Amino acid sequence: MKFHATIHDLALLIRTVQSLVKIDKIGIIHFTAEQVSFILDSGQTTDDIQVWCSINQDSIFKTYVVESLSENEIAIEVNLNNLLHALKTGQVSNEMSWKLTKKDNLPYLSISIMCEINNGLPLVQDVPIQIITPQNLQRHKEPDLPEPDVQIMLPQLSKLQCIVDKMKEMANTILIKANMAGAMSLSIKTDIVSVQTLFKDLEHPQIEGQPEYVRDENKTAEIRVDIKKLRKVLYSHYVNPKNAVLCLVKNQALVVHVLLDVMYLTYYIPALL
Amino acid sequence: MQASITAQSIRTFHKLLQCCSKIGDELRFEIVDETLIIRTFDSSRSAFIVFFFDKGFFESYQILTEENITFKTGLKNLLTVFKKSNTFERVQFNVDSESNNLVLAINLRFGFRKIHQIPYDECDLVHAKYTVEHFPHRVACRSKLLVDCLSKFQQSLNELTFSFTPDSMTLKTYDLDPQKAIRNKKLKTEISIKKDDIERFYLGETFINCDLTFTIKEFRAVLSFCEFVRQPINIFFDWEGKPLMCCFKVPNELRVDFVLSTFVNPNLQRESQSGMSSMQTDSEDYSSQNDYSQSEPQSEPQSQSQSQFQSQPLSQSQSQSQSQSQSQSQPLSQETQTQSQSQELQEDFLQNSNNGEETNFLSGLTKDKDDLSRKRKHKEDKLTRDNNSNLD
Repeated sequence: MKFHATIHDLALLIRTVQSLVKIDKIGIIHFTAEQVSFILDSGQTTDDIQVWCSINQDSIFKTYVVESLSENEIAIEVNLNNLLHALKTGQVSNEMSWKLTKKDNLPYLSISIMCEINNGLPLVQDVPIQIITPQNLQRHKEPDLPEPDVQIMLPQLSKLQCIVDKMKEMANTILIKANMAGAMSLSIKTDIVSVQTLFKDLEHPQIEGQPEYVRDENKTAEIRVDIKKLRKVLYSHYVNPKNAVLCLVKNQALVVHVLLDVMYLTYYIPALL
Repeated sequence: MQASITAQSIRTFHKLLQCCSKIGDELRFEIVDETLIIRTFDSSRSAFIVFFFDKGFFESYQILTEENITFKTGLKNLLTVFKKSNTFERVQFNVDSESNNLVLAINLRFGFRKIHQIPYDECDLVHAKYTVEHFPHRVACRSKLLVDCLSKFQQSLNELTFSFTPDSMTLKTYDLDPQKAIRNKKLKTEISIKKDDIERFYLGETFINCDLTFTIKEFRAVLSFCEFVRQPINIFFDWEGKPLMCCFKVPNELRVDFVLSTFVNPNLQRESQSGMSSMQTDSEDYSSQNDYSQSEPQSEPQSQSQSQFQSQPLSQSQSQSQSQSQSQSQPLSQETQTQSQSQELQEDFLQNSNNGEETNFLSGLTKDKDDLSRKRKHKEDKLTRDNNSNLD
């Protein structure tokens, strides 16, 4: 098993890990020939948010070599806080290279940085990892959900986060309603107060290979989710996405797709019944 | 004693208080022979810092009585007084021995004047017994360099290791238990500085590659004070387990000496055991009292280092009691370098031959918790006898 790579776009990587670390401490990184994927699903039986993220390898790495016995794919489990700290220390420097190493019989992702201190001091950050075998990796599968009832493009995520921030102080769960005519609402209701934010004239995504959508006011869906989880998902605005799509699957989940040219982040938030 | 400070010295004094607050809870003042000395050490007596003030630090400095005073006062009070020190124009210190108060008269802008009376307690002198001569190896570098290096480490780190080789100095994390679950495993960081990048890199003849591990909190505090006064820092060291000493000075104003105990990584196997014993300084009086005792299992690395600085050395020049650092959670049978000594100390000032302020450092004597009580009785008699012989 061999892996070494040099980083080209550290900023994008840091922003991605910053969004991911808000969801969970531990994540799986799956290196394939074309893609680098992050999987955060701490136990598929829990009610936690699942994140499936995939980035084109060549948009982050300059050189990239992955070799292994399982079709040249490697999967590792890391503590995202450690990874984030290691990446941040390399922000000012010019070179950062990654390598899988073993020290004292323990596997590490060794990040070598030529620091900016004193015109170049070698810094090595060893991120402790656990190797995930292909069998174990099979157990992590993206949730299999039916076709969403409503798909709608979200307004700017940072603005949404501000709104949800204020609502979070007042209630625990939030009701999201949307229809196929560009309208969406976020609402909370408690004994004392009810707050509703309405959006209109939103776009709908045109999905390749599917017939053009028809604006239909009557096609609506609503889902109730935990407000703190929604807020964590909205941290994905860190990556400066081009588009964000909200999919409502009635009674099951809220799916948020955050999209960039070279990357996508998919969040699955379980619905509260 | 009456003294006043202005401007930059006020800021320096405030920074000094902040640095001391990370080390201990009290400041011990000593006014002797027209100079002021401030000392702080931590409760487990594994870190000790002393500041020697020069006349240049003060705007004015007068000694009113002939007596030498030593007193201690809590740091919290002083910190509160100095909180808004950026608005101070002048601070006057006055030691009022009748009411046992340290009176601080502060002149602020617009003619305001604040007077604080901080009570103090008389106390014993405490010295550390290590002097720079006790350390054969020395490294001097810009404090900013070390501060930048430390910033690459995680904030949550508790210990740091300095690894010395003939060509370089490496800073790395210390991992006692590498088998922890991945959720809790810490990031390992390592940064190496070649000797060419270091101002002075002098290793004595007895040098062998070594790793010195110590708690980072106190070191960080001292380093940031050194960076504040913009002076290079000198690090003196000997061997794993022996303390580390950092010294720096602000010309004409202040001299700072900091002694920090180090501990040994029990996971490492060492070869040169004999080399270690030859490095022990001769202390014939106490050689019979050296014990190679087992360390007790301890769960937290912070409680490992146990060199202590105790009040009253006996006869300074000869008795070199060595500081001990105990490694934790593994039996000492794997390594014989750590030595524990337990000694009862006597509180007799007068025995203390003051070799001048510069060399007055108490040696760290390990007060190993359980061993002490057992050995104390046995040793007491021996000590008294030895002491008496030294007097003669």
